[in-house]
Amino acid sequence: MASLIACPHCGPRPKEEFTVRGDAGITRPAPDAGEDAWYAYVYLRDNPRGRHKEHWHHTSGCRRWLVVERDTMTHTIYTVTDASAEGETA
Amino acid sequence: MIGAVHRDPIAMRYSAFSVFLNALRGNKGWTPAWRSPVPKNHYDVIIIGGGGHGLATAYYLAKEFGVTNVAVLEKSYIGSGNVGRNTTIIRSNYLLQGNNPFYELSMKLWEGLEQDFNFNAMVSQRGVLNLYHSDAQRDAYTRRGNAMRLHGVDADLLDRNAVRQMLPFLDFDNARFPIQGALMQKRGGTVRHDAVAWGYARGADSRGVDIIQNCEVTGIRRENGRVVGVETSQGFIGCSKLALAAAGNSTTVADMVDMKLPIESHVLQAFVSEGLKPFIDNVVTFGAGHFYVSQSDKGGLVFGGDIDGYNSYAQRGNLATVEHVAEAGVAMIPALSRVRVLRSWGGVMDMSMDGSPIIDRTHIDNLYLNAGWCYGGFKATPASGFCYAHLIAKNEPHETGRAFRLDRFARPDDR
Amino acid sequence: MADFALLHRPALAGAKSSSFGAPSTGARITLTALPEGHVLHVLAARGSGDLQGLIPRIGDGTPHAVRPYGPGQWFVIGDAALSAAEIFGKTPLLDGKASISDQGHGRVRIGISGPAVEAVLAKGTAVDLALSNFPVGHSAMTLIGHISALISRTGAENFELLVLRGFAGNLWDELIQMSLEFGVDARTGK
Repeated sequence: MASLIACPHCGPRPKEEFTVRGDAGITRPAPDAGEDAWYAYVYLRDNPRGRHKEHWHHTSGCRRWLVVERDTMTHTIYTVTDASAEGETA
Repeated sequence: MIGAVHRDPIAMRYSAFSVFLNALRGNKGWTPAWRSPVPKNHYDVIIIGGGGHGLATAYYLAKEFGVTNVAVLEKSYIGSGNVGRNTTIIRSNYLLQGNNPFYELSMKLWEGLEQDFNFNAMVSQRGVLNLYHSDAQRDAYTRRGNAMRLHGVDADLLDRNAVRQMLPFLDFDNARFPIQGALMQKRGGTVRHDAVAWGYARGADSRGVDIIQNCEVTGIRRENGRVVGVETSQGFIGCSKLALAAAGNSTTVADMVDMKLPIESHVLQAFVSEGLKPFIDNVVTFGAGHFYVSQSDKGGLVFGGDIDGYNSYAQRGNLATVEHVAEAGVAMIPALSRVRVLRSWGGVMDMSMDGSPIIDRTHIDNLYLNAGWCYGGFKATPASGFCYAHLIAKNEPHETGRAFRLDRFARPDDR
Repeated sequence: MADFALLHRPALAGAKSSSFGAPSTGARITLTALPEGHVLHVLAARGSGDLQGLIPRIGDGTPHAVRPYGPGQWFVIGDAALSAAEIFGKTPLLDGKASISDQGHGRVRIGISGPAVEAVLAKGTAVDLALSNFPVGHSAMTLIGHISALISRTGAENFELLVLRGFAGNLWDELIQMSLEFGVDARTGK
């Protein structure tokens, strides 16, 4: 994991200030979406080797949820945006 | 004993006598422990992944189930993955029904392994102690110990004084985490991890299995809904059955057949210190944080902690976790504050969604899956190989591995 | 009716209060336990727009009373203790665009100052505290070592740290440690 995450609100900060939640690419199904949809949401993961979007919380900073796009192999960080800008709830 | 396929002088039998004889001959009589064959066009079984589990699977396929036309494909070299990156601990101190008999089968196989595959794996049943720091934790460990005993596994609950006699250097009166005692499995311990890979590789090879290193699988070819072979960096290789054993990278391989897994890849770090005089006789785990330690025969303290916490395919971790592990270690053994760490490294774990592994058939008839070992794969190596070989050979799960279904998340009830 | 009276005891009442470290380097650090007056946490309502100009209405009018630390989030602090009624009385001033929660019991202020103050804090945080980057009046929520704190610059050589009450004693001790090379006078006000 990269040492610094560039928070869009606070600037570059050490990753220790952040808490990872996980895959930002999955969307919560409707309550009545059926077992298969819920199974996929709760258990199945793309788990890419390469570019990956995740939710990170700036826990010891502005306490905003962020979407961090990074490489799971090289640890390069491509983009960091506020999760509210994504327009989706996961 | 060496099996019927004794077709190569490489498969010499190791013994005290052979060591003596070779010493007299200037140690010039040793030959490679396994061949480096050119891949055949077709195998009955191809195993993707030459780690501990893949090699053990090949070994038991050949030895126990008579399936010898087998290839193990390894993208790098034998021992480059997690079998050479763990903290070498073996134990079968599990609570739950689906787990305990499986890990106990593994323990029993460990106990006979060196004689079985004629290789010194330095199996050392030095005892594993899980420290407890509160009444509640003592009760939980009592329950676990009782569950172990009901399954026929050895377990002893030690009080504070008993632990103090064994491990006087622990911080018993730590203000936050005073040590009240430990749950001990005397039959637990450590095994020389590389030797496990080498021993299984040699044992499989001598029974006719082809171990093909530097052979990365890049695609899985299917015809009429069945696997017919794999595309590799050494060309196409056909097979009747394909078995995945690529934990850490299971998703990457499963992607080739559009199979989405309940798995994330995470990095776990391990550490070894400078060599010290004999100091820690057992394996000891901290009950108030993530820390476990033992001492190798060379004197280095071998220790580890928790996964770094984010998805990673890189075999390296970050410093915040190093600090966290060191803090937990010093909280348990204050003297560690003066020990220097020689090396640290990372291994990539298949983290399954319930912390248990998967040994099962898949949606494709002749494709089998062994995955999801989280950070507990090493101790499971023999049983994993044994149960997986059973599954591949008979197309039926072995009794003790029956709980590790792929579809348990979707359908929790037993079939 | 309460069975017993709640006794407010300052978080740093029992903390170390003396001089430590190098006798005199000409760059001594001063640590001060600041009055536990009021700490108001202000959160903007969703979609309420830019409230930067609105928030000072609930402050006591002193410089640096308002400390922003993220989108739609502020701490408003002051030396005077406020009653619950006084705090509720401030809510209408925000025109329904933000809410106030009293954090007076939850967070504690520590003053730290001296010529070497930037060097001391840099041991704990990665935030660039150079005056050019972090001018007077600027605030940042960050980690100091393992402890979250809001750092605010109140002067060229003066900062205030706002920290969770339970961590205040720990941070106090760490700040003394971090300041030893320059010498430090720690004052809890006793």
